[in-house]
Amino acid sequence: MKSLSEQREKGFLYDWELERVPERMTRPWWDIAFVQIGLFLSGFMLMTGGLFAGCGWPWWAVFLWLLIGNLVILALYILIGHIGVKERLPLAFIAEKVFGPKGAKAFNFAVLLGALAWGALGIHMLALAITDLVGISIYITAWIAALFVWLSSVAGYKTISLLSKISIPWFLVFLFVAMIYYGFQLNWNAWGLKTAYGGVFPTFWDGVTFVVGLNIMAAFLQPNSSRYARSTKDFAKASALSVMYGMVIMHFLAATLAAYALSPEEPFADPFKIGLRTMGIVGAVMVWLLIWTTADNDFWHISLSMVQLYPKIRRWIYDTILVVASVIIIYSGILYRYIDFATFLAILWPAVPGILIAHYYLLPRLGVDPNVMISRRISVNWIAFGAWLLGAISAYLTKTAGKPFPELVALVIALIVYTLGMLAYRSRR
Amino acid sequence: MGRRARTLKIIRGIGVALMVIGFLVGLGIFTTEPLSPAFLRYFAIGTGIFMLGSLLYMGYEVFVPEFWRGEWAPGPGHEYPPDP
Repeated sequence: MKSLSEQREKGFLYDWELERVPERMTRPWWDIAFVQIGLFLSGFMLMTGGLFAGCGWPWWAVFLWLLIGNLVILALYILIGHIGVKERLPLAFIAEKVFGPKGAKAFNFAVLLGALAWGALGIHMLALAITDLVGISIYITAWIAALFVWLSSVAGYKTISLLSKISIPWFLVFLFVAMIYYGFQLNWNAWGLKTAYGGVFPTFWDGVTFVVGLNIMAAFLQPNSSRYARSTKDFAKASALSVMYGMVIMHFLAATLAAYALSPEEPFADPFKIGLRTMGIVGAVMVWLLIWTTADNDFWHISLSMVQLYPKIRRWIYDTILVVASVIIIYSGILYRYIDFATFLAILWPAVPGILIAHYYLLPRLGVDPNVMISRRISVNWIAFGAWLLGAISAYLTKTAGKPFPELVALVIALIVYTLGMLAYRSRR
Repeated sequence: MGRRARTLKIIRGIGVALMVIGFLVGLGIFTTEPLSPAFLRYFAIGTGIFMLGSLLYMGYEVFVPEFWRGEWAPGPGHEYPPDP
């Protein structure tokens, strides 16, 4: 009997969601870099520029926050990305080896619940921008925004990469040029300001903690794009470009735009205001594209998770359902309560990279087969869930105590608990 | 190298040239005041030319029917589709 992936016609909309990406469909390293940049360069980058410009810390402190925090992120991206290069499978199915086939469904459902809120928020922001510009009701513009996001996420990597290849080089060159231009306009006095829109970072390490928190959530999603890389070296090159240029240099220089565009009394570094006041209508289009290239990534990742929940339905159909569901969420008026819930859920994610690193790097060296869940037909790996829970609790406690690096604490605790638990399990069997 | 690959290489070459021209036009903003009509003109025209160049240079798969059938994607060792 043919497997589900063999039965399917592999047309344009197929994203290799059920099987390994073949060698002939791998992509160049810069293509993967652009997809990564699309995920984490959003309108929030301009907002972060405002937070950094007006927080009262000098330029060198801000630069060091970005450099130190992002070196941690880069290391995690490469470690987790290597798993995707090796397995060539989406995260949703890699999770089966860690959490067990049924356990992975619970994991993927949590990813779906958490990321859908951000995808819906992206569509909402895009819709509000059109409404502000042309005055059409949000009930209509939500569908227009959803259509754009659907178009670039419907074929998975193919369409996401296509949009990224047109828009990301533009961000990296034109936004960079605009940042340098406004740096000169301000005589480079864009940092060390004390403003209402600035962030609050009482200590140096609070700044580094903020930077680590910005993108650690994306670390465990890396296999979804790294499965298209030919080698780990290619993926490392892609991550180095995207993190060092996109996250360090662009976020650092974004302060010049915010410092020029905003008055010190403004309470909020609104990305659309920054875009409009520095680059005119093209700047507003740029912010729109920044949000679009993040929202389509959100829907791509969650549609891959949904395939593992019920593999008989194609990924692009899930993508369509999810985009429609997000408009319904916007219509129903519960979006911001849902965002609060997703923010609460965010405490869950930092532990996951720790479990993945333990499973693929530590356990094989300690004599535990990474395929043990599948080979022994164990449907739920309770050790992984226990480590996940303890990691999440430690992140929560570290955060509420106001200590630095709650995300890294969660990661390390989950890594240790999972490794010890699996070793105890191995010796018992 | 097949005929199709040669055609795609020419398309990509035009794309690189447009990206360079778009970038140079964009640099024109340094000769203008912030948000002046000349600033907006340089930025918008440079953007248009640069993005068209990106599409031709990096997104050249859109000109290949096999890409739309999901049978081929550009990548290391398979930058161009074989001739039919």
